[in-house]
Amino acid sequence: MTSILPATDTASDLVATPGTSLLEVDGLSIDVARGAGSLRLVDGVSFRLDAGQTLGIVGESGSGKSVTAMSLMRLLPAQLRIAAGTVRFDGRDLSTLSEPALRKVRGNDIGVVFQDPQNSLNPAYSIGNQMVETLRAHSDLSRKDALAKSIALLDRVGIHRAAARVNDYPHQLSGGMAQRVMIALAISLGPKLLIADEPTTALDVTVQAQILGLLRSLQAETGMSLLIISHDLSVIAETADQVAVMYGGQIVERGDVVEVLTAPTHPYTEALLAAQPESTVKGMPLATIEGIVPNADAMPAGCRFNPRCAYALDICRVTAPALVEVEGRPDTSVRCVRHTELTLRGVSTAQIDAALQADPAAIDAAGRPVLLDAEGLSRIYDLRSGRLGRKTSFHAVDDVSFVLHEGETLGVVGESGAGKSTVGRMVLGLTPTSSGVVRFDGNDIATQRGDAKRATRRDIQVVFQNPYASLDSTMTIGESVAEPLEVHHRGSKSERTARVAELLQQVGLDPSVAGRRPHELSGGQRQRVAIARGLALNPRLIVCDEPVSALDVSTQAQVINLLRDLQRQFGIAYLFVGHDLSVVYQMSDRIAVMYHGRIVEMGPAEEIYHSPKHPYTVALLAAVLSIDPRHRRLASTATEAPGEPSATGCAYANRCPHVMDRCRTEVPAPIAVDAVTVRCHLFDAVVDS
Amino acid sequence: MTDTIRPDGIDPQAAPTEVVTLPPPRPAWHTTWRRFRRQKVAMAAAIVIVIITLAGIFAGTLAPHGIDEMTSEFMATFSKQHWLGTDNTGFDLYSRLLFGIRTSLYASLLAVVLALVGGTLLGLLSGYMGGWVDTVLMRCTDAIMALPGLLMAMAVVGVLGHSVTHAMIGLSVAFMPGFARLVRGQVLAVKGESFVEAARVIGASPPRIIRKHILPNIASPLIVQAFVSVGFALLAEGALAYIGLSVQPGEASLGSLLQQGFNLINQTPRLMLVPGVVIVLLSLSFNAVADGIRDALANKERVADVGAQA
Repeated sequence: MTSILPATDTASDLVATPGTSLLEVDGLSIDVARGAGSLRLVDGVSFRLDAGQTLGIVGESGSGKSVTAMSLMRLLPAQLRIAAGTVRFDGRDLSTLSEPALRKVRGNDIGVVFQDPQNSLNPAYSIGNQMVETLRAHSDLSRKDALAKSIALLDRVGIHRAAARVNDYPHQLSGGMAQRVMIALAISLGPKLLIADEPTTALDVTVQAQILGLLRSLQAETGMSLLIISHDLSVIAETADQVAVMYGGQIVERGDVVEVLTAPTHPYTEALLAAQPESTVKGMPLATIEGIVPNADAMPAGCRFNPRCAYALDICRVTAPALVEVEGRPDTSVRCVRHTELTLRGVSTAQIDAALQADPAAIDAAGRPVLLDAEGLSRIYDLRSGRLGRKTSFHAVDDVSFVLHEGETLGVVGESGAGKSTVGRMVLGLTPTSSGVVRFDGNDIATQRGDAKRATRRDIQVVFQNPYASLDSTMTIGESVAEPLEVHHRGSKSERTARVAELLQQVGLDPSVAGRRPHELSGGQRQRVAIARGLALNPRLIVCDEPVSALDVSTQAQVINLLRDLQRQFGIAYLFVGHDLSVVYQMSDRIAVMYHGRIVEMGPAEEIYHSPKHPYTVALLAAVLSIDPRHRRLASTATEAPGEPSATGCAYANRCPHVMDRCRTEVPAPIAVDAVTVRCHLFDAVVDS
Repeated sequence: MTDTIRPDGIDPQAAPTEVVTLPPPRPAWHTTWRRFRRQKVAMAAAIVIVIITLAGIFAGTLAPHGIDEMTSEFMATFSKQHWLGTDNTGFDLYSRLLFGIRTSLYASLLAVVLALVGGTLLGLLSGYMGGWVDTVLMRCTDAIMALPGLLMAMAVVGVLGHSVTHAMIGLSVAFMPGFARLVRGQVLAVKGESFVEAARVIGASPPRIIRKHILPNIASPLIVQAFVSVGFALLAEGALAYIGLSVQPGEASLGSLLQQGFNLINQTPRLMLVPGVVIVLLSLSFNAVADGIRDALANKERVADVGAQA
């Protein structure tokens, strides 16, 4: 195969001198200006990346990982500056290089892919135009040649009919497509190093697997080095050769990815691994890391992790440990005074297998009374192109039916645009239904008026995805939590204050936070406040709309545990909307999988997770990343971007590997197969026979 | 570990009480004031406004002469008896200036308060209800905006009769569409926020949502707009007085002083310059304070979180 990607000089040198270091960062510190002085955000970070290798930097928000990556090319916001350290790239020190020389390095030698592809592309230019400009700015290609090369590059990153799509504008691309274009741009000049900062965080699971697979296959082809920054351990486990774990602006552990993840030497690494939903037997509480990531202006003395560390001794509170090589493991370094005496648990195959076993404590909810009954729910939006344009309709939700029993959790999982949040909003009455009925306790909620309506409102509450937006920043925490009580005239003022304190304690917060305002709390703390508010009226159903997807892993585990404890204690039913299958599996008794407005498969969580029937469910499960670097699930082959949902017949037809003729014309009806209901023509035969 | 109130309290192991280590709470306005205070120009402007306003309020006590008290000196220049001299009818300019400030400030505030209240109501109605209410109200504001503000004020004075109050009612009608449009835009933005939806889910009524959630969240741009408008109202009052549509003979406003001074500009420019300078100073000061408030209120949260975000 003739590669359209320029083989870089180093790529050919590679064969001769394997293990040449391409990037060496030494003692890098970054300060942020604060008033007259400054605060240290990143403190003495050192790592090395060899040619052709992949280094993953993992850490929670506020760990300094993105700032570190951006500082390598001095792409820092104005108030940040490199205070100390060197960045040696390919023999030159980027931290002291002149600005014109550095501009040549950017793009030519180092490419960058950001988290949000849609915002990284200029909306005013077509994607072909942007690629041609980039190519011509760095080479003497003619416009025609540059365009031909752009098309070849887009084709290489898996964009179908690239020659036609070069004229598309960024808003015409899906998130996954836009990220493919960003990757094509970043590799167009044949960089020796590609920095990918949370490249898949904004994308759906199936798209994430494709993009990571694409990055790996491009790396194999060109021999470039990859620096992947992520908060998600499984992204690192699937892609990296080396890993650096960051906490509070420092690297706390660094080494070979298999060694670090299977035999961690730092308690934080162990805790991060344990907090992954995949590591826990369903039904058991997830391991959590208490407390929150410290702010740069309030770093604990001694070891920065000590207030949250399960193994902390007095010495940890006083002495700041240095990053030292682990004895007998020359590749691994750790920043912990106790690393020689501690034996920590890493990823174990046995444990992951055990976690996949059926939940022994699973309750059969089918015998319980039905709380919520949704029948044939649809939400149709009329779209018109221009004032006089043709009228088309878009089915955000199409013929969705389900029941939810008392005290049960129904998980609704699907990609963005699947309509899963709209289903939750229709249950809450925030989005009107186009057709269909929602019955709560046997009563149609659409026809309820007056007191009956108020009673239903009390019984159905919500926890939204973004705890930063769901609390009114002009109110104190206490006012927010008391608001439902006030609206429904519950108790006197002093009784309400007492109830607020009680609620805050139930969600694991100190009652003194009542006097605070939302911006003073962390994301996890705010989500706890949102839950306390939801609990205030003793609801029977809480719609959880992606309640943990905006949170860090350690905080996510805390909130999941809290939600499950509250369910056990108060018998609340949850409609749990999510995109992360492992999280939804952990939470749910039953799962409904949605694709393009329809429920394609619904049944007991174990059944869905262990023997998926619908081809889409199969694809969704196959895209779940592994946290065990020894058993990677990701294919390192580039896949073409998936087809758009089909307008007629089964919406999944364009992506389905088992597609038949009738799939394109006939919408499959729900069929009961074993314990699940599935909408797929593959199972017509099963039912017929 | 804190004690839980309920005997069947949740397992403390599973839901640990988080360690909340925060500085003592401060009222929200505290931060804003601290950030306003750091801005030198805005602070100087605020001091100017306070001094001039106090002078206006206590004009009755501070003025050495009455507003229509004719002295025996005509066209006198600066002196101990007459700090700013006298005019051609023997009025003491310093005294007239103090009373003029009082009238002008009262007039501008009246116009702005009326416009603020009316515009906010219209904007809330338009933004929150949407649909045909929105369409009708917005077309009406478009129509008003098509007329020059001073023309509107002249029309109202023509109908209701000559007085400062009537002129200011007219001016407030001219200012109203600006407030209505601002409020409508802000309401549309805030209405879609999760916290408003969260309030709908708990069953809060629209009046409650508007009062508790929407108004507090759109207050900052409104305050800024109000201060800018006071500056404009001062100038507009000056213009109206200049063509004789505001204060009546015997009274004084900065605008009427300016007009009287203008007739004698060739003999004593002082008579026109003094009220002119005060109008410009006040108007600029209100604008500067508006800018200062805007900067002090902007990105309150982002700045508070800078350490965590970076």
